[in-house]
Amino acid sequence: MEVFRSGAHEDLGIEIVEASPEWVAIRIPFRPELARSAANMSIHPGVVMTAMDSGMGLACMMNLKESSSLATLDLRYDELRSPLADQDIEISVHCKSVDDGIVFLTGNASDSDGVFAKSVARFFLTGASSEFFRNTFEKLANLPDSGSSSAGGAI
Amino acid sequence: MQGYREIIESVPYALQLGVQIIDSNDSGALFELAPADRFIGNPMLRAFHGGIICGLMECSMAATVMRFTELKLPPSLITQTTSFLKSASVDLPVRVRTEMTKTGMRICGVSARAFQNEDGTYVAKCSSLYRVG
Repeated sequence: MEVFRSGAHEDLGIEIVEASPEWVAIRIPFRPELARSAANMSIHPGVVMTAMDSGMGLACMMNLKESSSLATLDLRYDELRSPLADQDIEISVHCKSVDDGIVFLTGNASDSDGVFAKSVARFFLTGASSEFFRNTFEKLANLPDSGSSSAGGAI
Repeated sequence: MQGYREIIESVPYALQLGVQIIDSNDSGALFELAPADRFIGNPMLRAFHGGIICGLMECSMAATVMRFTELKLPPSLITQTTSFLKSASVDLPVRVRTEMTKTGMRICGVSARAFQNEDGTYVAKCSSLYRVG
């Protein structure tokens, strides 16, 4: 699904696995330059947080009734263990509520052994919608299957 | 004892980002990330992606913990909480000031504040805990 591709997404090679109002899934393909150290070749937490923030922003947009710009207020990232080395990572995000302009979201990061990190975040709907958000919102609204996609594309 | 430059060079993602050490003192250090279009999150605002700011602060805080504890490898991140205060223009560098808040045998705490302008307007702040032993 080619919704949009910002510099940060392109740089990290982040891909959408699925996007619907219920949940958003994103994959981070492993690359050695994204690793934590030569001794621990698992994907760096900074990369996981970037994908988490992106997935949460997309989940916000999938749950809006009309286009709005949005901003991350805060993001908490708890790492249960280090992810497995040399492996892709998948992020899954759920939008828990959209209330009074504040969106509450939770997310998990998983490798082949299961969940290794959890996140919670709050986003703020700033109201005024830029062309970037309007275009993205329109593309999401026009996706087949009522806004869901599993095409495995880039954002 | 490893210097900050050596520590940064031991972390592939910190190298990929381009994290630079600017200064250090008894409680922490000052790091910088040069502006680049590859860090854009919102192309209309030309703002840094929030996750890139999170990653920059994590690299900076982990390097600070390694310097203070003399660890040879990056410590294990337990938790990081980041508050975003203002959008960060991708046309200006971002600087991060770190400060050790707890230096224990097993757990270390560190905080960081990210800013862009000389007047010190903050764009984000965060705190983290690391397992070091």
